Amino acid sequence: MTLVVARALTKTYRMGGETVRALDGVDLTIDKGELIAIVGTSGSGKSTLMNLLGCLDTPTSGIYHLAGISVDQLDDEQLAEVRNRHIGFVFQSFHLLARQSALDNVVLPLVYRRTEPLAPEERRRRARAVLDKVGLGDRMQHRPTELSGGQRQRVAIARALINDPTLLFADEPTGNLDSKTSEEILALLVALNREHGRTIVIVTHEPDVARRCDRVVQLKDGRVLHDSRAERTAVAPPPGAP
Amino acid sequence: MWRETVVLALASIGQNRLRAFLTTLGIIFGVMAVIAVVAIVQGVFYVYTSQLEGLGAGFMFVVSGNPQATEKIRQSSYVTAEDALAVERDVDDVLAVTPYFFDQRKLQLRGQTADAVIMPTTERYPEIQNHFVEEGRFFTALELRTRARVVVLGPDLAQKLGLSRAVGEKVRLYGVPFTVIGVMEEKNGINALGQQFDQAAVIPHSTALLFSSPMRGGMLLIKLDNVDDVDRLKEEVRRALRRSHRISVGEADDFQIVTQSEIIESVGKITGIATWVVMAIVGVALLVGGIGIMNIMLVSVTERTREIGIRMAVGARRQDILAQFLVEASLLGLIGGVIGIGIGYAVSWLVTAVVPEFPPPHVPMWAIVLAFVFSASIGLIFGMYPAARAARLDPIEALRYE
Repeated sequence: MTLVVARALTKTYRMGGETVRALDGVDLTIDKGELIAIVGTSGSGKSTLMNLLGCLDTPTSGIYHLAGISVDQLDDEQLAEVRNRHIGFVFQSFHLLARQSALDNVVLPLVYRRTEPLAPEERRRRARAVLDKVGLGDRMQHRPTELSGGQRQRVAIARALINDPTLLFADEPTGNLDSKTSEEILALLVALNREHGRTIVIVTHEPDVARRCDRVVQLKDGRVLHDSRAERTAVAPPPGAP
Repeated sequence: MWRETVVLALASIGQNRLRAFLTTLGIIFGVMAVIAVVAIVQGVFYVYTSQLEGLGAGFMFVVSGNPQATEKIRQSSYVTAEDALAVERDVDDVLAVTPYFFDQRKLQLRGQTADAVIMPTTERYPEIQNHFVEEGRFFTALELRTRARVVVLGPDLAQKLGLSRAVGEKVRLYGVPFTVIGVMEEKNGINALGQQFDQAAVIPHSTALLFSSPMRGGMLLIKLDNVDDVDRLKEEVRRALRRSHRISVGEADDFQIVTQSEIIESVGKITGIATWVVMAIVGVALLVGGIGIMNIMLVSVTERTREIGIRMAVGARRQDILAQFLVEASLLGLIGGVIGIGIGYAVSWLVTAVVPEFPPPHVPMWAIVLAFVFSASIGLIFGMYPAARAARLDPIEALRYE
């Protein structure tokens, strides 16, 4: 099942009278259950691509369909709704609310859920279940400052999962972690993909991380330089493909 | 959603208690001033009007002197028991008249001394003032005629002298012995001359004239039988008094007649003006308070840029962010208002406790509601700009903010 269809995605910024093409006609298709790495050097456009795919921003031109929704046509309010119900973000610097407990951080997306809203007790119940799943059942009332980096990133992953998102984005998820913790977090993401069928997009510049993914999309100067899946498809179409 | 927003705002204010307190000082002082002044002014107004209304519907006062008359008249004029009798006799719809004037003396009993407000009056006083004896009896018409040396004590006065059974005791007043024949029932408040009922020593008017002359400032309290045509009655009382004072045609009155409704009206007018003047001053204080809130909310928005970005990333709409900061600003104002109401109330109690014989403060419901609504709206109005700035943030920029 195809979740993401992006065609000729383009994003331009005006910077001091000069027009910068951060993204220049990117075509991308993502199927359900894929584990994808988007790689590239700084300035290659991978962050811009993630912001567009994550509905934090709208393209200057091009088409973006997410789970059948024409995201490029949406206004701010509808984008917020799509982010809430379809997207989960995991950031390099965790981006947790420092003054709130792990549990409250995980509950946050449910607070902003407007379709099928949940009662506060149900929200907490779900948050506890997700925190359990990421192995933080005994740290729910801790604040982020009382948690280690790896634990913080687990809270962030739990927060990203709470609304059962269509797409999970991880932006340099191991960038602020030591190698052992990095491995644990990466293993958790891979397990989410393998065991629960989560569709995960990891934005990274670390080859070790990219190697763990099924598919690697390499960007350069705002264009797709290399897409391992496209290559694979060209060489050997999977069984049943037209 | 609203519950969370309020909880969130309270938590955020709670994180910076000192800052929140300093921010709301402007509001606190403004509301405090409103409540204190309104409480005091309304307290005075309330005591006067309830006193006047406690008298019953039909009342008129005659005050000696007339500021519009000549100096000669002003100095010589006074109203007496004879005037009271003349009005009772000559005006049909008058039920009863009692004179009294202001006289403050020392009252002695076996070496004890107490300050007493002497209230010289006639035997009609209890029914006219709606104020009766608790113990013993009031003096009679005969005692008034014979200038008997009898006194009815106010309950506070009896207590001050240490009298548990006052009736039959002899007290010294004007240097001569007076027999206590009764104790008045408790009646909080002050009479039309500003004397406290419970501190009064009520004696026959005629007896009082033996020892002191009725000074200017004395007055007649006239109880009316019929209030349908107060203006006509006023005119009749005026004619009766002019006859009694032998004022010839063309000469000015040496007294003034004031009806109950005229007094309530003028007291209301004065307190109304005072209240609105204070409101205007306080408006400025609240404006300053509002700017304080705006300032701190702008700081708060900047400080929490990343938080705003995170909230947007997980699905908060712009209007959610707007609501969050508006609620926080309104709550800041509201909290300031609540503290201000509390301190203002305390200050008004303090003032009335420190100043002797000041009526207790009275905070009308409208002042509290107004203070609440005003302080919350100040927060809301001055929170709009910071909240709009927060809501306009670009989520990507906000997330990147260090």
